[in-house]
Amino acid sequence: MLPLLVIGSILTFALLAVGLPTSPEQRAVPLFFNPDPRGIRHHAAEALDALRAGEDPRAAEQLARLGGAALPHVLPQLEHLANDAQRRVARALAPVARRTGVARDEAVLDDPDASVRFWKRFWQDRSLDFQPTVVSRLVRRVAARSEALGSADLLQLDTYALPELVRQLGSIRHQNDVTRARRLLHIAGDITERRWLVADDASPEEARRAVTECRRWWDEHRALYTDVIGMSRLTATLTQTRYGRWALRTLREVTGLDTSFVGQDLARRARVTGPLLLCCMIGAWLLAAAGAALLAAAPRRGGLLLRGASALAIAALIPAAVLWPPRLGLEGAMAAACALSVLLGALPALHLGRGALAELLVAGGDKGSPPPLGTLLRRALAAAPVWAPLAFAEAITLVFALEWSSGLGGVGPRTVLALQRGDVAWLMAVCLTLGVATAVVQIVADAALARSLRRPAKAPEVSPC
Amino acid sequence: MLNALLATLGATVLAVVCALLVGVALGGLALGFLEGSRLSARLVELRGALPTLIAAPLLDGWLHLPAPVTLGLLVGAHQGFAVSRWVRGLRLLEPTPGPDHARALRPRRWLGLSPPVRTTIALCAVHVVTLEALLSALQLPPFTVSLGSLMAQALAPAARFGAVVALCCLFVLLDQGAERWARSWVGPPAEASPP
Repeated sequence: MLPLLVIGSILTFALLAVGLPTSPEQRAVPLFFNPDPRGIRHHAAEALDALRAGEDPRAAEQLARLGGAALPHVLPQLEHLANDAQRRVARALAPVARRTGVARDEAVLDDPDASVRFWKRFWQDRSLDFQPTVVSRLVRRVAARSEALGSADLLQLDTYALPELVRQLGSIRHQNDVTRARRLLHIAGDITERRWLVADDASPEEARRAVTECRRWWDEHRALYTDVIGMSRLTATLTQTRYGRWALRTLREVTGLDTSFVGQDLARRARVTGPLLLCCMIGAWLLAAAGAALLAAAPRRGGLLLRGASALAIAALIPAAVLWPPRLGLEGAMAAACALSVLLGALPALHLGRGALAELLVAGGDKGSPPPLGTLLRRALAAAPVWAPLAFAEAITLVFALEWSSGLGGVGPRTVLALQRGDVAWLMAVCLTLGVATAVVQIVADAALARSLRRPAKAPEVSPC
Repeated sequence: MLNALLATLGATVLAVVCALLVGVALGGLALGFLEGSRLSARLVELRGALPTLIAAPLLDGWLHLPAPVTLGLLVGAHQGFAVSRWVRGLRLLEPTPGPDHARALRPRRWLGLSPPVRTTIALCAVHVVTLEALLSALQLPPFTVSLGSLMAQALAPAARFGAVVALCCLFVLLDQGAERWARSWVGPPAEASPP
């Protein structure tokens, strides 16, 4: 089941990615495989090269944005640059120094030569702090004890501390986790200039939401602040893709690490869509069986009845689905779903009744004197499993339309909105849920079919002549 | 109105042809081989995972084909997957299934299963028009002038009524044509073999 789900998710994601409107930023990220994943080393080198060549406001802005994470890749190179380039780089890094408060006298940052000297001295003094083990120890200390013990040090490390800060957010289940999340998110928020606040009296659920938002932001920006070398480069070929990001996010949501906003919304809306689907399916199933049995009992009049009823069903189906009067309420919509189910079941029922199934049901019997209606009904019900998974897909479209036209807050209207806005996360959730639901219906239907086939059927009496 | 009718008719005919081709081929695989049966089951799941309402805008954004072609292909594939299950299911339900499954691959045998064929035609017609109307009402692509879109947009009751009547006539014509076609292939009913 799991491999099928993965394959299904890949196919669906591909279709959604190529079929939905996407922004240029989204298109810049590869879909499934990134042959050249980039990390902080690459981004810093790019900015440095641009500044080495001359004035480049975009490169300067990029360097300031990369912040502390870029320092281990930029400052060791400072010595090897020409004087002008050194000044340009120092000027580009000035916002980082101001943000982190590492310069006691900020006037130094306005003087190009003094600024270059400052950064050289800074790297001589502080290069040992820019080590993963140091950051890890600092973050652990802040998480376990008090924010006052190491937050200033972490703020001075700036974006270099972000990977460890996000990693140690962990899962939020108890009040201790809430306290840890509050401390770490406060520092991460200060570094990134974003607000991921956890109130003092926040519940684990509220804290988990804030942590989820932080991790989602990190999913989008991880490549800017982390290095991709060795094994991490290998994994980045898959994770630095649109599908990889979605898969990671979904995995965290499924395992309960993150709050699933889409899942919660889907569950809430499914309380409206579920009963409607159920009404539609049960009604259509019963009608299909009854119609098949009734028409099998009177096959000769079936032709006229078939065409008339089919035409009526078609005539009623479209207005019922599309032009249904609005503001029905859930009860009204359920009644409407039952009515739709009649239409949904009418066509297959009529065709089943007239055609080969009727012959199969009475096979071996005398066509002139068909078996009792009860027998036909039982046998027609046995045929319903063939049809059930197929009707499910038809019912989904009808129920979505019904929800939309009657103003119900079900899955349908939200799905239409997602199609218009290109909301891949919602559409993936809906498609996978529907796929799994169809698979369950099909498995149950096949089991019912197999059981009915294993059961020794009472052979109809066959006329010897 | 004529253009709309032609667009819908074209989409329906394409859907029917596509559905029968896909359905018969998949049904044959499903009956003949275990892998075919599994493939048919997976495609039915795919059919459920991507209802036509979701798949139509995606396919339009991907293929950029004329709207009737997109709708015809989509509905055809959808109903084709259904036909494969019909064919497999009805054969399984047959009280005295023949031991030789290869026989089931003969054309006469397939067309003898006329209820799936005819149900497919009826469902294709209904599905195409419903989808056209839904997409038009929900303002989702592919945008086209068709019977369904006229029904969804028509404000005058007379226009709606006219479109519905046109659709019913279309269905009856298709249904009757399919029956004659199926009968011409199947021929007169075979004599019952002695028990």
